[in-house]
Amino acid sequence: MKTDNQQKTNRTLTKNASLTPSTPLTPFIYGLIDCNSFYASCEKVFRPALADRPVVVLSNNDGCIVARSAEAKTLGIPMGEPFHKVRKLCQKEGVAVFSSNYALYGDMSRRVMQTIARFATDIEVYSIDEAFLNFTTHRYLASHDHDSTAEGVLASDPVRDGLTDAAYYRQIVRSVGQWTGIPTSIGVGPTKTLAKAANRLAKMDGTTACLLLDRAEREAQLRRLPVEDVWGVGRRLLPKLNRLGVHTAWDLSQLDPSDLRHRFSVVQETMVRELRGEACLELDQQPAPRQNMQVSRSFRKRIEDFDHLAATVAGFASRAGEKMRGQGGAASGIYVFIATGRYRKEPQHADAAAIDFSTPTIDSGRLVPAAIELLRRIYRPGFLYQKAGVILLDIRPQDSADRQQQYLFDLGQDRPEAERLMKTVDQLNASLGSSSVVFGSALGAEDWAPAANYCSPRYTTRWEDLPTVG
Amino acid sequence: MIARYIKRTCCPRPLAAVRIQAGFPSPADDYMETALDLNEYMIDNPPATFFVRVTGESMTGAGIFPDDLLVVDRSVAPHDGDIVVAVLDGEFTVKRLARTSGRVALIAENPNFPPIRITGESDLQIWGVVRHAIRSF
Repeated sequence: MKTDNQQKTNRTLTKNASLTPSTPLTPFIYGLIDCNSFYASCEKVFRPALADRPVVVLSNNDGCIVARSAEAKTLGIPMGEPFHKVRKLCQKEGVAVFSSNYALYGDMSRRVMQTIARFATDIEVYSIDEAFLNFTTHRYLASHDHDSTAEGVLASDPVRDGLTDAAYYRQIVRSVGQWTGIPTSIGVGPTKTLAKAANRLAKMDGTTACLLLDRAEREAQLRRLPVEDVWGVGRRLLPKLNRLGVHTAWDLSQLDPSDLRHRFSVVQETMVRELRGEACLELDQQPAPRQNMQVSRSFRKRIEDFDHLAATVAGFASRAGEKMRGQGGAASGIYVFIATGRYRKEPQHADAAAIDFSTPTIDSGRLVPAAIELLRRIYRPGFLYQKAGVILLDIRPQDSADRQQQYLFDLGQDRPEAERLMKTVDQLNASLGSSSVVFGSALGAEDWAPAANYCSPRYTTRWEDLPTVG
Repeated sequence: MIARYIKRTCCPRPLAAVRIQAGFPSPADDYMETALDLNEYMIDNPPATFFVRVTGESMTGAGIFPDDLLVVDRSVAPHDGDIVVAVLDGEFTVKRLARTSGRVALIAENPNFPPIRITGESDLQIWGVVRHAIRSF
């Protein structure tokens, strides 16, 4: 199975290769590996009785369904559905229900990523259950026996080292499954966008690996993939593409990249070029640059009292959330900083802290308590603070191509209600003046602990929660 | 809450045995070694290693007692004679694996517990291999 890669003799890989879409790079092999029904799969690892049973996991506050095992999908339980609507169905069908156990999922994610890192020198952890891999130079286990810990040298010949063969990638999936118990799927292609597309095709076909390296096979494959499943095509772009007669990934790849740049932006041009096999994005590069949203102030009157400072920081978080929602974004993390007046002859203190959300959030009901908690960690009594600020980190588009992720936005309540609440708050603030409606700052830390009625033990992070063997 | 994978290369460096004063280094400096680390001793493959707690007395003959902590490695291929954590009827169990030509059984090490013969290879699911047992007093 000859690919374009072998035609080229000059295969030096330049780390700082130009990234403008007009310059195709030397051939790459990218993989996108992701876990199947990740949260549900984590719960199954330690409850073998649930191996073939339907399992669902609920969002914060047990509000809605954020994960379903394959068996639960077959029962027709929709992603993102408010739990109370399917509670009876779950009882009737014996569906195992779990509250989110982020301690467990975070630890299992770490294990999965560490395992994957044994198979590729370059790895980008894209989300809690997905990673991009660069196989173009790679490290591999010298033998396929699990007992062996010998490692091979960096490869430069994809065919000799089996990188054009699905069997190699299936072995990675098998190893991840064996070592961690988590089932995964992998898509492989000459660009990140094609690797993502290959992964979607693998899921559609129910296989563990799909390769889009062969140009000759690519057309048939991309014709099978709906355009809304392409990385970067969201709710807003889809109807516009449909109007251009674009319904499949293949249709999209046939558009003129420069034309797309004029109609939309360089982001969409990159998408088309990548679908055609021109690698424009390296690892750790997103189609659009990472965005942050900052709200900060210097105070005319310095603040010493914690409650006063907390109210201020809560306001900043609230306002930042409002602006972010107005731009259709969701925050991956939040950063809070405070500082005393630098130019005064007074005791000085400045500090900052940040926290990542496991899934991007639009909900001020999460942003505000997180900001207050971070403030609690950095505040020190006895200082006159002159400046404070909140930065929402790594803002992702709300309507991302991975539609599954839309429902993973961690909302404090049922998804439709929280969205309506946010909309109402934003509208009121727009008409009555900013900050007319604000979230009450969490006066007690326990106020923001979410309800979780279906918790599983923290099997891998708490000694008292270890699985038992008889 | 993993946002980034950070390759960690941690090399604990030994401190010199004494504060360096002018002229007289400690004769031990050339022979300093890092302190002993139980993690390094017990865990060959961190992402594949899990801890479990023992209940029941089926393996006391092998020196495994209730409340012991077991270090279980999922990446090691199980061989005949290994102590393994297996899944039977949806539950975890710890037993010695007896695998001879065509026959597979899970053997307890306690006369009060009979051996469990597995009818087909596919019916047996090995969850991991026990590498160490830790007992506290």
